Amino acid sequence: MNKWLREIVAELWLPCLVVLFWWFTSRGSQSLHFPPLSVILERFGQDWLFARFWTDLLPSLRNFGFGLLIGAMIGAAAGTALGLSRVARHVLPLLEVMRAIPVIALIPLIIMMLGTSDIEKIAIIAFGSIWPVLLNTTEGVRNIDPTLRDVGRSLTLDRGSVLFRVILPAASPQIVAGLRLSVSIALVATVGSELFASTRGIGYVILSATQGWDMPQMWAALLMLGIVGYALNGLMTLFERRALRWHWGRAAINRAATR
Amino acid sequence: MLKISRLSMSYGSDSQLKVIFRDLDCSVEKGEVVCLVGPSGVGKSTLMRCIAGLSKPVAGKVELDGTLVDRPLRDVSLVFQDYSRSLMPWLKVIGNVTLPLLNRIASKQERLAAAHAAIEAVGLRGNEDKYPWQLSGGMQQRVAIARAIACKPRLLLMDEPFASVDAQTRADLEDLTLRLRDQFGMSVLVVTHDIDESVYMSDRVVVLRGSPAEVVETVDIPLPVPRDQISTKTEPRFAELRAHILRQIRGETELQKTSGRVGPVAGSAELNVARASSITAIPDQIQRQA
Repeated sequence: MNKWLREIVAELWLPCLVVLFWWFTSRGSQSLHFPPLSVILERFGQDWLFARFWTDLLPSLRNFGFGLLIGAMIGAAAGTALGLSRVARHVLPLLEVMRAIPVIALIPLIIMMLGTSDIEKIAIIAFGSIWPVLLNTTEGVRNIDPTLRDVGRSLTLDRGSVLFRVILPAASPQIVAGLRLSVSIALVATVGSELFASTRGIGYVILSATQGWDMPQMWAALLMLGIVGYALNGLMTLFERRALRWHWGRAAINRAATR
Repeated sequence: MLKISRLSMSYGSDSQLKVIFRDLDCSVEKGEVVCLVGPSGVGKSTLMRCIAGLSKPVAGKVELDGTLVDRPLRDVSLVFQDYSRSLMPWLKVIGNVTLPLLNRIASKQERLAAAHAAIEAVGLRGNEDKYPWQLSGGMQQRVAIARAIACKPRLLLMDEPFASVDAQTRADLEDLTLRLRDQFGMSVLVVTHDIDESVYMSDRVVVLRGSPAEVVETVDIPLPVPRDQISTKTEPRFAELRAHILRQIRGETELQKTSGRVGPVAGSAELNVARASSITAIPDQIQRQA
């Protein structure tokens, strides 16, 4: 417990200091763009702890979750297939181009194709999340030590076991690294999808608040986004620590051995 | 039991053709330990891949009790040279040993029982819940051996199995292998460049040499069993046999221009871990041209 407490203090002392600094320097601020923090926090409580929690925050998070899930699954499946096939070398440059296109740029096209609905937003998020997972999975699967494949064959494992018990675990460190990139892209895509032809969500709140010169509301929404992003990153780290404990453990031992 | 007849392997074609070995004949009887010994580059690992069904020979065949080996068979287990690459680092010891049993034994309880028995047999009880990379090199190779014997194979193939462990561990693992052979009644075929090891472990030694490699001689090893690291190795016949095999291997390599020196070579990485007294052909570094 003590250790946990210390870790939390180590993690949060600087942000807390910054917030305090912000609080005191913005006190009594008359600026249109930078209202006092006290006002922002009051608005934050009203909006995100109550009024907009169900109507704006949850829909955003739901779209984010579905989009990321669909994108990551498509990316992992296609990446595995590609990594195992011989055409990967020829297709990879094309995929790099696809990834290089900012997903925001595709929003107008996707709206034209799918209309303005949650489906459209999930499609945007999914499209953005596919590429990092796909490319990393392809590389991960392609670069598996051939010895491991030989081991799989010589143990007479069936194809499914080779895939799920040898190839995918062996590629998992790279797949998870791709997933981490996808999480941040999915968050950008979530907000982006709500800035266009939208009626709810955190992105929409930011846009409409700015248009109505309601700066405290905008700042409160930004604060909420920061917290969401931080929480997602934390979750991802926890997941990584659990799922890849073997990977980090082995790396640490190898480092110690070569030192 | 295992019968290898007129086995040939080559890579490339036409002017690039590299024949690795040609018309190899060799056999292993039930319960026998046979060592294939030869210098580096002779194609021992390639031969082992063919016997294990991982590579297709260009001619000839490998048969196990009359069954053609054209893919890995369930009755045959292979222990790879490099334990750090052949064990799954994401599985604990018990998971690694259970892996080959997944599609052989349906009941989970029986699977675990078989895995525990194998772990016990290699002397690793109490380490089931460790990851392989938390163990020493010798222990990791024991895990690999446990994984290989867990499914009770009729034939155990070992490809330079003890090349990357220290001398004492190596001796222990040699004895372990012989003990497991007695315990499980399986046949064992070991590929090695270490002549001492081949004489110590084998009932017969098959000497390979040349490029393309050929069987020069099959030497019976009539040393008394059970073998013992001290008494067996101090027998005059042990010294005679190892000298005889070394002569066989040297005879050819002196004529060869390409394969280089034979015998203890200072600075060779693998020799640093090999016994100082051991007569060793240059470690295997097959030039794979695939």
